[in-house]
Amino acid sequence: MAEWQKPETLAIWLSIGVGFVLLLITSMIIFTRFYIQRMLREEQERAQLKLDYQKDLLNDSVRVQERERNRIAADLHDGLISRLNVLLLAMHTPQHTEVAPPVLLKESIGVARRISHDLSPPLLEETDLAELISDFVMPLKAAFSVEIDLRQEKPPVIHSETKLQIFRIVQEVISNIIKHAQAKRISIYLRLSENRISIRIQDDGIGFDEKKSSGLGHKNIELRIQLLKGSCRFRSAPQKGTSFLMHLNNY
Amino acid sequence: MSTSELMTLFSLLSPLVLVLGVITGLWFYNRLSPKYRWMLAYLGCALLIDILSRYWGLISSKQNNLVFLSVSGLIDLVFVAGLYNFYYLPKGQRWLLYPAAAIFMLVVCNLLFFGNLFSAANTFQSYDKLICNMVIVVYTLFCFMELLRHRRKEHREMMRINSSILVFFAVDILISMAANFLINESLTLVVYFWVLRLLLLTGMYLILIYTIWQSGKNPKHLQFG
Repeated sequence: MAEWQKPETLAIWLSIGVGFVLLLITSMIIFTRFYIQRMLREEQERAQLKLDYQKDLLNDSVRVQERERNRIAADLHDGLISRLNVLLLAMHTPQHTEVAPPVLLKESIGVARRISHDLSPPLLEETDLAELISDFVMPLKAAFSVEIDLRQEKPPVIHSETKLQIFRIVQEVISNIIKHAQAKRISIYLRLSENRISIRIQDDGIGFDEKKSSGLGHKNIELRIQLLKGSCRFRSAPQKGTSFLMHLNNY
Repeated sequence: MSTSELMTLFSLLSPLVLVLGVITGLWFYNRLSPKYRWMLAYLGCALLIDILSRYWGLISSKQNNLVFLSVSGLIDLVFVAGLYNFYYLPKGQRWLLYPAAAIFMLVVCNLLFFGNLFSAANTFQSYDKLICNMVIVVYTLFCFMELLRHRRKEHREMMRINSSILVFFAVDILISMAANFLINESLTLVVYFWVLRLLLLTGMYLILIYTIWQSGKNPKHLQFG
């Protein structure tokens, strides 16, 4: 009998084979286990990050609300109440007033109407999104070159809540342009179809550094976009204008 | 006590564990989902085969029960194919059922028409069991791939069962290859291999029993592993 045919030799080789297989499988199981653990840890970290982000957004939403209240309070105080005070004074001392009470009253009503429209756009249900945006930018045409490019297959049915959120986003973006961009031209592109809304707002202003931008206005936009389950992004660089793009699918 | 007697006594470990498993499964039967009932059925079949093989070994004129090794290989294959195709692997990998079914038919044909079912121990080869084990190992590798690729809610359970199945059947491939040697050689030389096989098999049964017990104890929890 040859050496390799001896039972002892076969038993040794079999032991080596079994040992090797066990070693290989154990390493494979340990590797898989580590990999899964790492995957779970990363998933947990991602969930934590998302939670932190949500918390930030919640904080920001409270801050945005406070800012809005302050703005409304300022509008009422500086616009309406001051006019009403002048009106009161005019009614008590009609001989000394330069402006007649009816004119002051008319102005006050105008201011009240503007504040009211600002709080909630009139006829929101009946007005389509393009009209809402056009009405909002109409007064800006005196100061800026405003261009609106609207493309829609047929006026899509947009829920009032969604319409209001989109309108607020557009309002915020344009307010930011007015306040900070020093722009001369604003272009608004709207693409509306049955299952997708795309909006692009561009200006030729001074732009900003994307990495440094974390103002309340941007947070407000992000909050609303998240509420709508849409996506948005700003593209800008110093002295190169700004472009805002948002998409909303299956709204 | 001789090595043979000691080994016979030690081999009772496997049926004892299986009895424990069947009792546990039947105790919680109403709380078990189909997946765990499938595991229970496997433990029941394994116990039946164990008892039958011992009985056959006593009454057979050939004084061996080696045919049950091939039959148990088929049962293992059916269990693993069912468990993995219907519960652990995604639907996209159901195609694995076809090669498994083909191997099953091949082994059945080999047993019925080509192989001598009740051959003598000195000419016995368990290539059919070897093939069944190989298919099972392929299933476990696919399961590992699935675990690495996707996050599964029941990953702990999958990991546990898949590892125990892989360890036992991979070692059993080598043992099946050397079956003739291990059956006919002196027991004092090969006893370690049979003990190792028995321990790994019992370990796999215990893990299945633990999984069934966990599911029965807390059905909602086990739904997610």
